[in-house]
Amino acid sequence: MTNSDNPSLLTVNDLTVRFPVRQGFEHRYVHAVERVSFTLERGRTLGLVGESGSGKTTVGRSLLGLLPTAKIHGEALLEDSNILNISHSHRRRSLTPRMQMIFQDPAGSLNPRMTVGNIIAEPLRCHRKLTSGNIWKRVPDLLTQVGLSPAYASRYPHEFSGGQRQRIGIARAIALQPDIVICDEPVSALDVSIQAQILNLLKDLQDQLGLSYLFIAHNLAVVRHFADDVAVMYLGRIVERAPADHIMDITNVRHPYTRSLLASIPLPDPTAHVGREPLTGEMPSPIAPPTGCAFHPRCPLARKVATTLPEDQTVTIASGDQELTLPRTCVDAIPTLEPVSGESHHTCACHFANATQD
Amino acid sequence: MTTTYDILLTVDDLQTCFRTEAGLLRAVDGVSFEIPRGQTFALVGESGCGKSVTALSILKLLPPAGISNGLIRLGDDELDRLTDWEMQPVRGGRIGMIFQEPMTSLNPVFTCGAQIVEAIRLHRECSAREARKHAIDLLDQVGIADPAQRMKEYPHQLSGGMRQRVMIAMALSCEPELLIADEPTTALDVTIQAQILELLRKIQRERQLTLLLITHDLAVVAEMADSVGVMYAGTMVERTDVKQLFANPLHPYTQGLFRSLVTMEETRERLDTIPGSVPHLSALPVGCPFHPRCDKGQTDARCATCRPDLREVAPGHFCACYVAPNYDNAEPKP
Amino acid sequence: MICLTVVGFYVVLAIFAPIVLPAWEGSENYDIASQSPSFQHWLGTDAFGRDILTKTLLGARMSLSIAFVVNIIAIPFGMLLGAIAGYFGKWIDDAIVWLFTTLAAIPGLIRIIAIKFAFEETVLFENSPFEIDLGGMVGVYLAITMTFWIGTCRLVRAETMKLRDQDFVLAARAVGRNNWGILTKHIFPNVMHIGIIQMSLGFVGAITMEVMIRYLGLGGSVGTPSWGSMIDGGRTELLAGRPWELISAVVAMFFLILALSLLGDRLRDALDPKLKNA
Repeated sequence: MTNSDNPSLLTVNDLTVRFPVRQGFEHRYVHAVERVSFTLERGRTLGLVGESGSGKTTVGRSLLGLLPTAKIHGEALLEDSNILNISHSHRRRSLTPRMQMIFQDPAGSLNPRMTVGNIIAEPLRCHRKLTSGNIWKRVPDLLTQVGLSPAYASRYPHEFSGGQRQRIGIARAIALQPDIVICDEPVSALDVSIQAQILNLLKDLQDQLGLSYLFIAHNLAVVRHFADDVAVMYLGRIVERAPADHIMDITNVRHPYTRSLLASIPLPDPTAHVGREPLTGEMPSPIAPPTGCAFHPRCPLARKVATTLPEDQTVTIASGDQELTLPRTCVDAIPTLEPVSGESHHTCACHFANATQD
Repeated sequence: MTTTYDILLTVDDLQTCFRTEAGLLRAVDGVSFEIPRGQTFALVGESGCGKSVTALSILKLLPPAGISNGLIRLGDDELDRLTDWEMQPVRGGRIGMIFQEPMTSLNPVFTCGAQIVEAIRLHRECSAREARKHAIDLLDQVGIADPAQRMKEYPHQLSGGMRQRVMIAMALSCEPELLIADEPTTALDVTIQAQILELLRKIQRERQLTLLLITHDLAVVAEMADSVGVMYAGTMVERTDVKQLFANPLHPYTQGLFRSLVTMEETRERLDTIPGSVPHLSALPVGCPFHPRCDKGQTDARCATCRPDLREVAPGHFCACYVAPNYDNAEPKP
Repeated sequence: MICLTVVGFYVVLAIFAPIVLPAWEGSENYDIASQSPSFQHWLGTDAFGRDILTKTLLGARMSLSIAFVVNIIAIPFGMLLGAIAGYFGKWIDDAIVWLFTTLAAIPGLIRIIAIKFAFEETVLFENSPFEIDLGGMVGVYLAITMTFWIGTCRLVRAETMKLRDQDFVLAARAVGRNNWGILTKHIFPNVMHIGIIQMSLGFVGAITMEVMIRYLGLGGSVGTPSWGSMIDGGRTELLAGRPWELISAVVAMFFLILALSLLGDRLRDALDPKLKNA
């Protein structure tokens, strides 16, 4: 798979992130991310999709070293150099100029007491690549690049709308001309009509600057539109990965969680038949994740498959106030990402990925 | 106006202003709609369009700086004439409301059980024990497992979806006729959203509940609503039943909204957008509030001078746009 | 605006009074002791025959200098410690919290007395026209300072803990700022308003404390004029039916404190970033 000309810009192997937490007198861990692996190629966009608690935001932050309290294991290589658990000075030299982040909350991600110009100039100042005079030439260019007037540099964030603030955040992220930009839910907090503007901007910048994006979101439709490949996360694990247009067709999807996710999306069509069963229950807490496959307490496929299996291969567990009979493998063994039969580039982490599902 | 349906809520020419340092801001300027009993009406718009303020005006829950005018009729009663004191039994008793952020709309220092019981006892004469029993029953109806245990828990111990169910239970506790849901699922994950919407549909069926749904999500509207009103900068720009709206949107803003929708079906390289942004209430354009962003190019001279009112340009389909077909022939509202 | 003028007036007074007014030292004149207001002595004289008006005006000096010195040291110190505690957390936070909790637990008076006596003899700016003979006041200054930084420290610590989790701090870290960079460029500008407000309130507090301390006889030599000692001395005079000293000290204090308090309120409204955006 990997040759000396590795086209992958970013390779992540078995990334595991745990936060120590004290509950009463016990020390426990929040298992935010469990053994996540993926690659990001130059110039492409990988969408990371999941609901709250899935760990997708944690993946992004751990790659940039923004989680000082977390215990991080595993490996992440930015073109052969390791970027996890490195010292601050090392990170500043090798990582920061090449990988940047756009945040979800346009208001909270800008210092209210700093002018827009200073906010955008900050990365340039930190890295001293340009002299002061040149910094002040670059700032107006960046503003224009994101569609804002250069005159805005002397104003404060609160004078702008959500969409404009997000543009400022984008200008800050591209100031150092990074290779990778991690977009952490960049349009979730924006109105629909503004979302479209910002997504177009991001696409344009990708074409102009050759950026690679790690696009983190919970809105599947947006990810599908924007990303080349999609990885779906559930409770800290990647459960399915496939090219974007492939994964959005529910008949192609193999993992039962992804199916439920797709089925839950409301369609903007009043004549469409609403006949599906919504997924029951809620995502369990990452402090005490279920054994084996994290999805087994809620998995409709597991329940169905269990009816076809002999008794010694099933086990009955209590879930909420109900009793469920599930396949033993689902409860005991953690599934790994395996390629789906007959399809390249499509992997799924499910013991019964190839079982028929209706 | 339809006479065949039994209309539960009538709002006619609602105007709400806020006194601010910058002068009088019109948050809602002449909004009218009706909801027949047992049906769902959706108020759609982006942030700042005035939809939440409309809901608060109906319930008279505006902050002190807000003043509201216009006819609001619930069944046979005219709510706009009631004093705050007289509105008390209406709030919760006849109209229930659920909000967007369950964390901030539930009091964090009281248990969920205590809050539901409080709501029940405000509107009914019953003992604490009866109220508790009713509360447990309600929690069960909204799909909360192990309701007796949940009663003793605090809001922060529950997940977002559960808190929203608790809010719904509270809103239903006194058997209201009308339920106002202000962005009830915006803060929730998509699988939980599907659960909550299903729950709302079930409750509506079982109790013949009338629902006023406020949202910015057109897909949710498609799933839930019978009729829709689209709002922009405080005015209603289009109003019709949901199938008509999706099949044939007439107002340029509505059309723009549909175009910017990111759907699962097609991929386009670039999304269509509505250029510019929503005007601030203190700087509304003269004439049609949408005309600076309108792609119809202001083909009509009136767009920049005089605000178009809402007219029935097709049976049951109201639009406030000079360029809409049949607009000039349509009768202005009486 | 009015408050600013009033405060400004007091400040000018404090700085220039000793130069303008007739000498204070040695102006005891028992012949004219305890007189009612007259043409030569507008507010009368005290028990030692010194002009009360002069005493009041010079007393402003004492009060303002205490207020100024104490706050100039205490507030920034409190801000620094608060920001460090709030930002770094863990053992640094524990240590600082322990420090101010312990200090705050010692009863104020005992603290003041102990420190005061340790620094009895020091004089500031010796041999200059602006010499402030603290008369043993260094200890008192120190003691008051040690009390005042705690309030600011607590407030700044709480605010810093809130700011620390905001996205813009995370963003600063992502673009390469180290911890000190974040503290100086991001945290401090956002807690500055707390310091300014605390400063104006601290002025009021310091003046009040000084008066109290002098009144209790804990600080300062009898020779140095101060409102506190005026109130103390005025007490006995009052009983003898001569309220001039007491009244003039109280009135002078009242206006200064009122002006400072109102100024503090207005500053808080003007600087509160939340109100700015409303």
